[in-house]
Amino acid sequence: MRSTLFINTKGPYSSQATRESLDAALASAAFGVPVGLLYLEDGVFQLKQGQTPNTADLKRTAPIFQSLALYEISDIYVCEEDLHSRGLCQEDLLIDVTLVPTSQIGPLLASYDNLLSF
Amino acid sequence: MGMILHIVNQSPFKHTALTQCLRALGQEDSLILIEDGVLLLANPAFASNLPPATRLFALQPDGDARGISIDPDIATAVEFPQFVELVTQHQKTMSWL
Amino acid sequence: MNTQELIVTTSPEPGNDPIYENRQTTETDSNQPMIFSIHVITAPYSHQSTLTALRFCQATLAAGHSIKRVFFSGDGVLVGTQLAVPPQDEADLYREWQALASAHQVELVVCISACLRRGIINASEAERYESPSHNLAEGFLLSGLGQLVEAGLESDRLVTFGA
Repeated sequence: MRSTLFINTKGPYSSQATRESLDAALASAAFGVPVGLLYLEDGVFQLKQGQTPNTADLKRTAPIFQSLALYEISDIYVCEEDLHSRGLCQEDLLIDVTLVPTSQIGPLLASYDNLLSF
Repeated sequence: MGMILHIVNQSPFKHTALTQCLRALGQEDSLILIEDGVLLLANPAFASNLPPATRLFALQPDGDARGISIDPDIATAVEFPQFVELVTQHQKTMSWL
Repeated sequence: MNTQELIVTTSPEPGNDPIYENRQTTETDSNQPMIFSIHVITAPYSHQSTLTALRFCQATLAAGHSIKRVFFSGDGVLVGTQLAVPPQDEADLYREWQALASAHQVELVVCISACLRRGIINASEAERYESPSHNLAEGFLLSGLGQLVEAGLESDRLVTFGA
């Protein structure tokens, strides 16, 4: 079975990218595809705790992140430098993630069959 | 066969896609600049750590459209058929959005 | 020009990181015809990517490869309207995609959830939602993200065009 890594580089809410990536990841998991999620650059903000998008008439994505475990999606990677350079740390995130140093992004990409960017 | 063909279609002067790509680019990977990605070639020195021209490609029609010439010492100019060939010659592609 | 000779390949170094060692990626022969699938996420005319994807698909087919599916998501689904009339001196992306699909049996799938949000619907959805009309162009299919997943599983190469 070909594995897929979903690469997320955009901040939340300005587009539907967060939701579409998660929906595709969940659909993949339902097919039995080995799935990984990688958050880079402003994509790390998608995982930030304390979002109240409802106040801006936007729909929460936190419940989808919290449902990933139910689909046995646990390979969730966050670029360590991008997280820290944006003033965040692991404790600020909604769910458990694996921090990946910049030097390991390349090997991570190489280890999956398909790379899907959102 | 190469590992990853990276695709960058954003201007390096206003977007971080190229920087992100270059930090993930492996020794067996190649990079193709398309659309606004070719704007880099107006001033290639703007980016550090570019791969050699054997692994850096630029889509000729996008360069032509923008009046950007592709210096063969910096990047190899390709047309769409060679773009397709590059995709087949790498195990996978990575589009930096 | 044969780009094969232009690519510097170094011998792989397996296991440069133990975390990723257990996942083995598949290798295919680049000289054989391949099956491609394409993912497009930007709207026609808003961004060049829809045109790039089209030219890429045409070159892929001309080289003897096949395209299993083109999956349009997000704003990409706007290419599925039958009502657009681009100026005659510009590339007609809508008709060109349709021509590609009918000439080469390429499936053009537009993501249903993205379509419903943006007003691209077919006759059956129009009936379901009691919409006064429908506008999905011939040659396009409304379906879910599962089609993108399946395309990734059943193709040798998956290429994303977007921004």
